[in-house]
Amino acid sequence: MCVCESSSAELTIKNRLGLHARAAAKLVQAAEEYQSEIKLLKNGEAADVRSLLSLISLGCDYDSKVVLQAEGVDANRAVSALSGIIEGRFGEE
Amino acid sequence: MNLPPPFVPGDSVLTGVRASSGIAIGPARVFNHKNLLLPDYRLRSESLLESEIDRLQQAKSVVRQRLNASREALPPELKSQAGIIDALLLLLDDPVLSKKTCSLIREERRNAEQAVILTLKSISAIMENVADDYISSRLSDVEMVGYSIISALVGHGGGEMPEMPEGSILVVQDISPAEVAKLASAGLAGLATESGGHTSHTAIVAQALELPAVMGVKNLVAGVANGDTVILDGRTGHVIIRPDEDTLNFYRTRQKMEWSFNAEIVRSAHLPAVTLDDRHIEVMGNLELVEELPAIMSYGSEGIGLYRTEFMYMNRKFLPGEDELFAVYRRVVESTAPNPVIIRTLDLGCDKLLEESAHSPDPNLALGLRGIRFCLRNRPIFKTQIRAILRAAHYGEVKILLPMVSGIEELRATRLLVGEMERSLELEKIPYAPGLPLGVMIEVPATVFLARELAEETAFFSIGTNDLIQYTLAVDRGNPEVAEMYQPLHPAILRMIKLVLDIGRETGTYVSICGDMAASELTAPILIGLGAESLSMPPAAIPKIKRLIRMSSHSELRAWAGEALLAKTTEEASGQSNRNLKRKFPELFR
Repeated sequence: MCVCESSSAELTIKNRLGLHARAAAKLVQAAEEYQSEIKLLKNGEAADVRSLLSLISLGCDYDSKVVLQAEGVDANRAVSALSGIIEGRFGEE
Repeated sequence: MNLPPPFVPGDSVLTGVRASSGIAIGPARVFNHKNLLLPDYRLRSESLLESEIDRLQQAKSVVRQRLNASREALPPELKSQAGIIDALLLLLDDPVLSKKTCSLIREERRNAEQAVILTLKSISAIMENVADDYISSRLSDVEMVGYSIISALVGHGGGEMPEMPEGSILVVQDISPAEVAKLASAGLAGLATESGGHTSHTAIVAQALELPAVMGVKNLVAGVANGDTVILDGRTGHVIIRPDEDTLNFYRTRQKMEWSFNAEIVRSAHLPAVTLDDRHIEVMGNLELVEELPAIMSYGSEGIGLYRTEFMYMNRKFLPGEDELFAVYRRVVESTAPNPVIIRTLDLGCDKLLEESAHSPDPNLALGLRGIRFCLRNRPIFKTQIRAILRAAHYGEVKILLPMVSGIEELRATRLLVGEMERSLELEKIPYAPGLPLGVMIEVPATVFLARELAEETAFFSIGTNDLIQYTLAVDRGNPEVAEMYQPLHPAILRMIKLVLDIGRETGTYVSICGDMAASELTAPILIGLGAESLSMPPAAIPKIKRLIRMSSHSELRAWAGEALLAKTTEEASGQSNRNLKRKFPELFR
């Protein structure tokens, strides 16, 4: 039996350089800790958070509005962890 | 497997940018992934599909091992390149890409090589549209990974990519500085690339390693076949493909002469630069990369007259921290001690700093927010650098040089900031050296006419001839329409340099000259004649300039400079100067 959670958060990209390769890499690496399927949406376009290429292809620059969505056994924890990274500006200025 | 396109005789001499001097002759190793003729077939039976996927996974793990190995092999100075390798590793295992490649194999029954090629094409399409300069400019790296997988699949060489026999000349579209450093130590003889220019980091690394290189050569890769004999002349920017016997002999002789000449001048490089009539001229090295330190040492430099500090701020995602800067500065200072190091503070504008390029490239940066202007506007960055310099100065003699100063205000503002940083280090009980000499670059023409006033508040001047010429003559050397108007021996330039040298002498202010004029045998004698007592130049130029000084008499150079100062036109000044040089040093100026 699957204890399926579903969770989402609306966020704004706040680091000056936007979701560039190294920042996106942090999300990819963090996502590896969870089993849920995690997506990042911008203007209805969805990117798999486990794919660096699909993340940077979203073209999120400074102030982009994005939605983080997860479904799976650990969806809540995944969304809160990854939101933390985005809200923490990926550790940048 | 690697079939070259037909050779066109008219293309046998190509011209590019002189990136690193020297002559190299050798067989070409062409790395031309676009021309690989790869197997292309459909997998007939169901049973082959999974073994094809296995073959792909094995190839990927070979590439993964190589990437990890080259990450480990990065010298400490090039660790900033590690971020690129990390991104490549993530791309190698990117699930979206893997899925695409696997589905091309499983569903369209493509062979693995074609599946990778088709996937690469789709990445290129996506990435070219990404509004992120970093990523779109890394496209060639992504292709590199793709073609590394293919190379592992078809199994040629199985070793490094590209595989380089000693003494060969690498012909590529583009190559990273880290890769060049690795190949040069493995015996690469020369480098020709389609992209890049004299100031690219790959060029700087090539210069540091004294590897002959020509860059920015159009239509290069398509015109050379593996094994073709190639002559590369880093001094003229020529790449001669499949030369005939006469040309080959000509260049072999030239190369031999260059080698023996270099050997001779390098042997004598440790001798002091004293003229025949006993005037000592201080000769120092310009430093950009720590790799250049050994050359500066062995060439008998009397210190570092210009340490350019921009490199650590470029090609990376995050600003360098104080400790990182300190560690590198300290190494430079300790290696140079007891001789002094003149550290020039950051001379960048936003366009070159990290990733800022994606934001607002300044179309006219030469007149924009760069150098001291940028630093005073971005205090946290400047403070970090100043603290690192003050700390490094604890380990040897250091002077601080400020670039792009246009008025006394900037000097004063910086002095306050340095004082503030001294106090903060004092409070934190971190070792540092107080009261470092603060000097000003003379490159904005305004400073020439403020030299007397600046001299009252500054410890030394460093004349940056390149920018001084650019600003005084209003010529952008990079613009081919006006490039030939960039004339170091323009009468106005000579008079300005004279003015600064005179004021330096009258006020007891130390003046050093650090632009290209100091490094050229055509112009350095004039500078000395005008009264220069200290020159700073790229390491490779030190032996020949020292030799020229030892062959000269100061009174004669003074007479030549006096003549040049009277010239009304550049033509007059350079004509006289060249005639004098040829007469005096027939063996140097043929």
